[in-house]
Amino acid sequence: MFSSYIWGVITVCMYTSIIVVGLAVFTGFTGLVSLGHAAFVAIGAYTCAILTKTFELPFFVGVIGAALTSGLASLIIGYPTLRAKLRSDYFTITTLGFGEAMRVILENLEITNGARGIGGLGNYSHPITVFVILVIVLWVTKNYIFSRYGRMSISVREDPIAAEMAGINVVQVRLRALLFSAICAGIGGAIYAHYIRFIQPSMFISTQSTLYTAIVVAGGMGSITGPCIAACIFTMIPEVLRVADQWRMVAYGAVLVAIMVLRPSGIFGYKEITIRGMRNLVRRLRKQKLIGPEGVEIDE
Amino acid sequence: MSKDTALKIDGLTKAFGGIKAVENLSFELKTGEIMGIIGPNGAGKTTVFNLITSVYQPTEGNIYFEGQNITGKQPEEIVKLGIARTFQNIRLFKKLTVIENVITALDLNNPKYNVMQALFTNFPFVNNKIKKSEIELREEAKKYLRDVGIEEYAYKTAESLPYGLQRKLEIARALALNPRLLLLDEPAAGMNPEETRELTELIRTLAKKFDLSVLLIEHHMDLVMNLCDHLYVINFGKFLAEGTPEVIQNDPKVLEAYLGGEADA
Repeated sequence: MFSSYIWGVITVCMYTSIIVVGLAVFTGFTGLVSLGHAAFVAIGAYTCAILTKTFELPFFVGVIGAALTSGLASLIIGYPTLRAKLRSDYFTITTLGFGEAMRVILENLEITNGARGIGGLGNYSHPITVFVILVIVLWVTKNYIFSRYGRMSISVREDPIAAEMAGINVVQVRLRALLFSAICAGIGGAIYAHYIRFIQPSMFISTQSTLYTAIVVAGGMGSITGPCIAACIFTMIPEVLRVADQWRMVAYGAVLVAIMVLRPSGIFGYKEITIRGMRNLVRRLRKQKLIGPEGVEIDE
Repeated sequence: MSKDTALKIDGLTKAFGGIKAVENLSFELKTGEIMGIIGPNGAGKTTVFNLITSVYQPTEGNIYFEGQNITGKQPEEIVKLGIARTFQNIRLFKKLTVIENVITALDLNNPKYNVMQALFTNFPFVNNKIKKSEIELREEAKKYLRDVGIEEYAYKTAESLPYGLQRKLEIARALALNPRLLLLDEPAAGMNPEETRELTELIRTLAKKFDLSVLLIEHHMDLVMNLCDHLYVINFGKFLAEGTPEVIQNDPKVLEAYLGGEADA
C-alpha cells in the first residue's frame, strides 16, 4: 500500500510513541523531569541486540530482556537519588549525568563493541509487530494512570508535601513511575535497534533525551495521547522538510516555541483523545451545522 | 502515659541554623479534647505542626502519639498511625477533581488490588476488581464530602472551588485518612465572621462524629475561645501561657505579647 519509506516513518512514530508514553508517566503525571532517558533506550537497544545477535535468541526474548535490564538500571539510579529527595532540578541534573555516563560505558565495554557499535541486526521491527507492542503499551499505561497508582502519581506531581500528608510514600511513587518509564524506554530501544539494524553509542546522546522530554512537554503534561501525537509531529517534521536540508532543525525550535506560546500546557494539556470525546466533538459540530446534513441527529 | 493522652510533646526544640524557631515546648493533648495553639505571627506555631508530622525533624525533644514515640518517623508512617493535618496555605491536588482528592486519601488504607492487577487485568468492557473498587471509593468519598457540605462540587476540579470550600475539602481529605488526631493549621484564615461561626460548628460536629482529638492553630479569637477546651500560647518559639480560654483571655503576659506593652482589653 505504502512505500517502505512511509512504513519506515510510521514505525519511527510508533516506537518513539512507546518511549514517550513511558516518559509521560514519569514527567507528565509524576512531575519529575528526566534528561537522561536516551540512556534507558540505549540499555534496551543494546540488551536486545546482544541477546538476538550474540546469543541468537528470538526477538521477543530480546524485548523482554531489554525491558528487564532498563528497569533494573532505573532502580539502581533511581533508588539513591529519589530517596535523597533531591529537589526536582537537582534530580534532573543527576539524570543528565547518568545519560552521559551510560554513553561512555557503552563506548568502553567489550560486549557492546565500543564506539564501533553493533551492526547486522535482524530486521524484526515489522510495522505490525511494533503496532501490537504499541497498543499493549498504551493499554497498560492507561490502566496505570486510571488506577490508584496513577492517582498517587498525579497527587505527587500536584503537591508532594500534601501527598506525604495524605499518607503517600512519595519516594515509592516516583520510583515506580521511573521504573515504568524505563521499561517503556527499554522496549522502545529494542524496537529501534532492530529497525535501524545498527547501533552505536553516539545515537543515544543527551540531545535525544532532551527531544523525548520536549515531546512530552509539547504533547501535554498530564496526557497519554497528547505526547503520542507530539511524537508523530516531531518525527515527521524532519522528514517532511527534508528538502530544507540543515534548516529543518530550525523547524523543531520554531514548533516548540509556537507550542509554548499558543498552548503553554502542551497541545493536549490535561486532556485525552477518547472515542467518547470524538463522538461528542462530531455531535457538537453537527449541531453548529459545521459538518454533515442539516438537522440530522446521530443515533447512539 | 495512658490512653487518655492523645499527643504529648516533650521538650521540643527546632533550630534553623542559629535561630531557634521552637524552644523547649512541652504540652499534652487529652483524648477527645480540642486544643488551640495561639501566638503572634512568627511565633513558631506552624513549625510545631511540621515537627509533629515529621516534615522537619526536631533538634531536641520527643513527640508521643498515644504513648508511642513517633519522633523521626517518616511522614507517611505518621499518617498511617492516625494523625492527619491541613495546611495554612491550602495544599490540594489542584488538577484532580474534588472527589478524587478525597479518594486519594481514602484508598490508602486497604487497597483492593495491587500494581500487577491494575496494569494487566483492567480489560475494557469487563467488570473487574479495579472498576468495582473505583465505584466503591466514589460512594465512600461522597460521604466525606457530604459531612463537610461540598458534595455538589464533587466533579469540579479542586482549583475551581472558592477559597472557603477549598479549606473544607482539605478537612474532608484529612478525615478520609481515618485519623484519631486532626491538626488544623489556621482553618479559618481568610474567612468572614459568619463563615468562621459556621466553621466552628463544623469542627465541633466532626470532632464528635469521628471521635477526634483536635489540635488547631488560629488567629480568629472568637473561634479559638468558642471551640477550644484548652489553649497553649507561644511567643518567639517559647512557652508563654497555658490554660482554659477564660484564663488565657485575662493573662497579662498574653495581652502584652499580642498588643505590645500594657493593655486593658
